[in-house]
Amino acid sequence: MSSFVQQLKYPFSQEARHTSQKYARDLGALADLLDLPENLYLIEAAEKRVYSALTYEEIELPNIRDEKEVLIYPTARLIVEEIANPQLRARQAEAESKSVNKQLANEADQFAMDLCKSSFSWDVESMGGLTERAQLPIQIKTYDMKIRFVNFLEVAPDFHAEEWKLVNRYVDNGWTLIRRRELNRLISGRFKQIIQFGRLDIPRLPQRLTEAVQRIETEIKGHIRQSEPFKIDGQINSAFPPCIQKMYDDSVSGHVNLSHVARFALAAFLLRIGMSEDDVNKVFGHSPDKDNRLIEYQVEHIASKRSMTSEVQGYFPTGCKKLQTNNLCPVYSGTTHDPLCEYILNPLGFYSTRAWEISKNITNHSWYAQKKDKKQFF
Amino acid sequence: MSVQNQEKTTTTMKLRLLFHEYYSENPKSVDVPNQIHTREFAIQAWEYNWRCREQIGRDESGNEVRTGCGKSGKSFQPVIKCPNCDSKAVSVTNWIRHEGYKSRDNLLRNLVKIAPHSVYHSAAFYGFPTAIKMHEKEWMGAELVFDIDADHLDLKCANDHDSWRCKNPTCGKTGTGKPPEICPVCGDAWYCDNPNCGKIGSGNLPKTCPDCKTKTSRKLYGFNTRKWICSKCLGVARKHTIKLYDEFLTDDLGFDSDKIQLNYSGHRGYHIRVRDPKVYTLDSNARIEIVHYVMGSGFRGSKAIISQRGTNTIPSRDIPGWSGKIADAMVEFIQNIDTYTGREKWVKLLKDERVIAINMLQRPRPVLSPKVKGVGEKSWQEIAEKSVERFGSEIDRPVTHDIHRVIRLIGSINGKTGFTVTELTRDDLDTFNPFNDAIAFNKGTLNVRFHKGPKIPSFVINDEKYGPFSGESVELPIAAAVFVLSKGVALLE
Ligand code: SF4
Ligand SMILES: [Zn+2]
Ligand SMILES: [Zn+2]
Ligand SMILES: [Zn+2]
Ligand SMILES: [Zn+2]
Repeated sequence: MSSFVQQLKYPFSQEARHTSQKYARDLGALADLLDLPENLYLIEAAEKRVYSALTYEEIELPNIRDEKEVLIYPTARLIVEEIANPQLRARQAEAESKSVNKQLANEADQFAMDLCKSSFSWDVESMGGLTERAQLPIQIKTYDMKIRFVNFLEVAPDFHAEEWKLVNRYVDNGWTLIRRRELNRLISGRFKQIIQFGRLDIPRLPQRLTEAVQRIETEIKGHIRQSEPFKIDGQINSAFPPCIQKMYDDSVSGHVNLSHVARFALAAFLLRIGMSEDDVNKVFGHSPDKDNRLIEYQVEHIASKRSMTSEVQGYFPTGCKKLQTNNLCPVYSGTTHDPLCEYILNPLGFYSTRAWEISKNITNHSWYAQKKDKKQFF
Repeated sequence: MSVQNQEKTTTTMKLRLLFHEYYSENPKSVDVPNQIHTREFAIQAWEYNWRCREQIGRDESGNEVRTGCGKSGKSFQPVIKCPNCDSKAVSVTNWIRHEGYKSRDNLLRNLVKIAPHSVYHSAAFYGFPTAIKMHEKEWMGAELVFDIDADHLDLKCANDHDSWRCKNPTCGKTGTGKPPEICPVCGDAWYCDNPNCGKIGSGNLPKTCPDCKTKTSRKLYGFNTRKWICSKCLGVARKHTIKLYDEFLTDDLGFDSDKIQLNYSGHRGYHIRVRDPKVYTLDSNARIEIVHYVMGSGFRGSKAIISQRGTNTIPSRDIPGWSGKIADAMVEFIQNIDTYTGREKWVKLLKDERVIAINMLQRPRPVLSPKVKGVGEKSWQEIAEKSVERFGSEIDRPVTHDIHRVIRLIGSINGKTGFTVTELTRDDLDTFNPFNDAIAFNKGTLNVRFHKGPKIPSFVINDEKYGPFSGESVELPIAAAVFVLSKGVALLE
C-alpha cells in the first residue's frame, strides 16, 4: 500500500485532512455533500461507527478503497458534536483512539515517525538498529527511538502510570527515549485529545444525517445512564477533602479516565467511610473505558479487606504523600487550598475532622493551629 | 493623622520620589518583555485605593437598611473603615491588575509617572491582556518560569535574622526565626464571648465562662513577621539556581542558553524564564511534570536499582536523566544523613558504614557497598528516592505550573528592598552580590531613625558594614538608607 493511502486511514493525518478538504472545503460543504443520495453510504458508515463507540465495540477503520471514505470520520464527529453529550463524546474519543492504536501496531517505524512529524509536528528520531544500539548500556538499549520531551509532554500527563512521569524517563539534551509501543500510545492519545477537546462549528445538517442523529440519541438512553449514579447526601459530600472531591467529580462526570491509583484511592476511601459496594460501583459506572466486571472485581477486592484492621496496610486509603506524587492532590499542585490539609496525612483524617466540624456547625478553622500539629506544608 | 502615620507617609513619599528619579534617569535598564502588547501588567502601588461598598439589606422587621456611602479614595495607610461614613464594608487594595501597554514607550512613561512600589507582568501572552475575567483574556501561551526563593529553603540563618511579633496588642511577644504556631505567651488564653463580662483565662478552654456562663472561645491573633536577607540565604538560593540552570534546564531539557533569561528578584532569590517558543503552549499538567522533574519528586527507585545475581546494582553516571544522577545524589544524602529525620531502619545502618558507602558510590562505576549490612534492594531503592528528592532544585512550584502568574519586571525596583531586579548572565551569577550589584541609588545621604524593639541585624552594602541597630538616629549613605526604609525597619528623620 502506498504511504499516501496508508495515511488516509488515520483521520488526524495531514493526508486525510487534505483529502477531506478536497471533497468538502469545510463542514458546511460536507453537510451539502452528504445531502446527495449517492453519499448515503457515508452517513450509514458514520452512524455505525458512532454506534460501535457507544456500545464499546471495536471501530473498523475503513479500507479506503474509495478515497471518499475519509469523510466517514468527520461525519461521525458531526453526529456526536450535534448531540453534544459529554459521555458519548468520551466514548467516541476512547474508541477512535483504541482503533488507531491497534492499527499502528502493524506499521513500520519510519511510517509512525513520519506520521508524528506531518500530523503533530513532533520530532521523533530513531536510535539506530539493534547492532548500533548494542554498545549502549543495558538500561537504554531496548529503546528504539527518542522524542522531544516537549512533544512527549503533550500527551504523557494523560497517562497515570509511573513510567510516564518525566522524572522516571531517560532525558537528555531535550530528548527522551521512547519505545515504539509507547509512541503508538502517544499518537493515539493525542488523537483522543483532539476528539475530547476539539470543538466543531456545526452547520445545518441534511435530513438524512439528522435522522441518524435521532437514532443515536434514542440508543443513548439504553447505553448511558442518565441521572446521577449516586447521591451522596450534601453533608457527607461537603466533608470530602479536595483530592477526593476532584476524583469523585471526575469519575461521575464520566469524561475523565481515572488512573489506577486514583481509582484505588477513591474506592478505598468511599468504602472506608461506609458507602456500600453497590454504590461505589455506581460511582465508577460512568468511566469511559468501562468494563463493569473489572470494576466490580476491583471494588470487591478492596472491600473485602476493609473490615480488617490497619495491619492490612495496602488497603488503607491512600495517603496524601502518594496522592501528591501522583499529581492527585489539588492542594499540592496549587489549584485549591484548605487549611485542614496542613494538619493531616491521609484524606480520611481530613474527612473525620471536617465531618465533625460540620456536625457541630463550626466554620471558623482557626482552632487547628492550637489543637493540632502541622504535618505538611504547601 | 498621628505623628507616626505622618512619618510613614513622608517616608513613602520620599521613596516614591527616588523611584521616580530612577525610572526617568535609567529608562534603558528596564527590560521590556517581548510582545509587550500581549502581556498583562500588575502594579503594586504605594497607596491603597479604598472604596466604600453601598449595600442595601433588610433588618429583622423587614425595613430596608442602607449601609456604605459609595465614596472612594486613596490613602498611604491600610484603611479599615470608611473615612467618610465609618462603614466597615470597604474594599481596599494596593494592587492594580489587568494593565496593558501597547509599546515600550507607553510602559516607560507610565513607570516614570507612577513610580510604583513593585511592577510585574504575565509570563503569558494574551489576546486581550486587559480583560478582567481570565477566560476573556484568551491565553495564547506562556514562558516557562521558575522562582527560587530563600523563603522556601528553610534555612538556618533565618533563625538569626528573621523575627516576629505577636499581633495581640496586650501581648506583643517577639522572637527570632519563624513564628511559632501559637504564641508562647498568650496562646493558651481564652476569652469570654460576653462583651459585658470580658473575662480572660488560660489553659483548658472551659465550656462556659465561670463568671457569667456565656460561651468562651480562643482567639487567634497571628504574628507580624520581618524577613531579612543575608549572604548565606542568597548563597543557597544561588546554588539551587545554578543547579536548575546547568543540570536540569541546559543539560537534560536541552534549552539553549540564549533562550534562558536569568535575574535576581530584588529580594531573597532568583527567577528563570525560558523564552523558547517550543514551551509556550505547554499546559499546566505538562508544566507540573517539569516541576516534578527538576525537584526530583515522584522518582521510582525500583526501576533504577535492581538486584542481579545477589548484588544490588546502581546505574552509572552516563545514563541520561535521573538514573545517572542517583549515585551523586546518594553521596550527598549520606554525607548529610545526620540531618535526615526519617525513622527507617536503614538510617542507623547507613550512619554506621557511611565512609565505605560513600567511597564505593564515588567510584567511576558506582557500587552499592555490600558492607552496609542489612540494607537490601528495597531499602536501597528507598534511599535512592529520598536522595533524589533532596538533590532536586527547590523551586516555588505554583509559579511554574500556574500559567497565569505574573513575575517581576526586569530592571524595575523591588519596593521591599529598593534593590533592582537585575538581569544576569549565567557567568554573572557565579560572582553576583546583590548588596553591591543591585544597588539603584548612590548619590548623597539620608537621616533615618530605626524602630525600637527587636534588634535589626547588621548588613553590608557597597562593602560597608552597618548595624546592628535598635532605636538610633543615623545618617546613612543613600543606598543603605533606601534599603532600611524599604524594609520598613526605619523612618525618615
Ligand atoms: S493534602 Fe491530602 S487530603 Fe488534602 S487534598 Fe491533598 S491529598 Fe487530599
Ligand atoms: Zn462610606
Ligand atoms: Zn501573644
Ligand atoms: Zn463571662
Ligand atoms: Zn540569611
